Amino acid sequence: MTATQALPVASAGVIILFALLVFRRFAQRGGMHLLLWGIGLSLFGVGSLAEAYSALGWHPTVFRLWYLGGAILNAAWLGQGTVYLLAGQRLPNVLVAVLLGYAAAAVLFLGLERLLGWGVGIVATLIAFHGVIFTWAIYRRWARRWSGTRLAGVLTASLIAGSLAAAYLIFAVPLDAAAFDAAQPLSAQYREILPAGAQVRRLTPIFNIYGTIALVGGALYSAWLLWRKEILPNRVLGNILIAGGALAIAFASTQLRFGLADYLYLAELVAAILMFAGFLLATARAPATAAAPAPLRAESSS
Amino acid sequence: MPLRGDRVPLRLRRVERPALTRSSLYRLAVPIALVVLGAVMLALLVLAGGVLLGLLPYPGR
Repeated sequence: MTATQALPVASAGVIILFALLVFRRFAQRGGMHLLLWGIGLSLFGVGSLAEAYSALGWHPTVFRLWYLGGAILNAAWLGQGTVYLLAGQRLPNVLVAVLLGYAAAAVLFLGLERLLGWGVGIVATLIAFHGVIFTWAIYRRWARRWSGTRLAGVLTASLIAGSLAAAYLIFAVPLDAAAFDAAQPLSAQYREILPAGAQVRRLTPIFNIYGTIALVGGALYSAWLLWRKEILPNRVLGNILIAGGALAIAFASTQLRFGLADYLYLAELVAAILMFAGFLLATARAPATAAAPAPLRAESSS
Repeated sequence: MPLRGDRVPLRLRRVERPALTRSSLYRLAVPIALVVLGAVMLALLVLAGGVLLGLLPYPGR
């Protein structure tokens, strides 16, 4: 068995087990974040299973499911779970402020670049710098006052609409089956199979930027909050593992897109193991015994 | 020592702390890990944003 065949099978095995545990937890406790994480993990699993199938042969629907579940949607749906989990900490508000702030900066400076003919470096720097200022202004003036829970609902509705649009686009696009080679990973040949300039490719960074901010940013923010309060170290370490896993796959995807290296299948397995380990650690019960001094609790007199 | 029923100011309450949170390795390693992972995340977001806005060359397109 080659690495192209073995790695996706191993990733799919880990992710399916992970998704089943998350869905079981959702069935026991409820919680929108668990449902959305379960959906995101299922999309991840669909991508891995499609990779495993494609090591044996070609099927256009399998390729389309790989691109939809594995390349476009899974990070955004996983991140949406974190958005719900941190709705009380105003993560949805921050996300909306970031999206609006950077959209405003991009529209302003890309427009000015066309008028004034600035260089790419200047425009990128101006967008990066002013995006922070616009984000801060939008958050302070409007976004922080909105209901986090309602905003999470609006973001979920937008994600559903965007996912349906992406599904329509990937199933409508013609594929070049002659470019397929079962001996190569899909990550090494999807550019030749998909037509150049396909609309669906332009959607991929949007979903992945959103997913990375929500999933990785949310996990790091949670870890920082708990570390600062000096409580629940298992959740601190679990969140760090989740962030590390998500970044492993984001890093490999970025390198692949820039044509630098292709180790996406390995990164998927690393991401699956790290995120699963992080979830198990974060949801583990704290030990009953503590080395800290005996607690001195103030009881209410009423 | 306050007895049951006495009101104790918040700042005087001693909360149970897990042993790990008081270890020096944990106190040092966690913020370093958060900063490193945060920096990687920002770098990847800048690259992805550059691709999205057409500012960076994208061989895959």
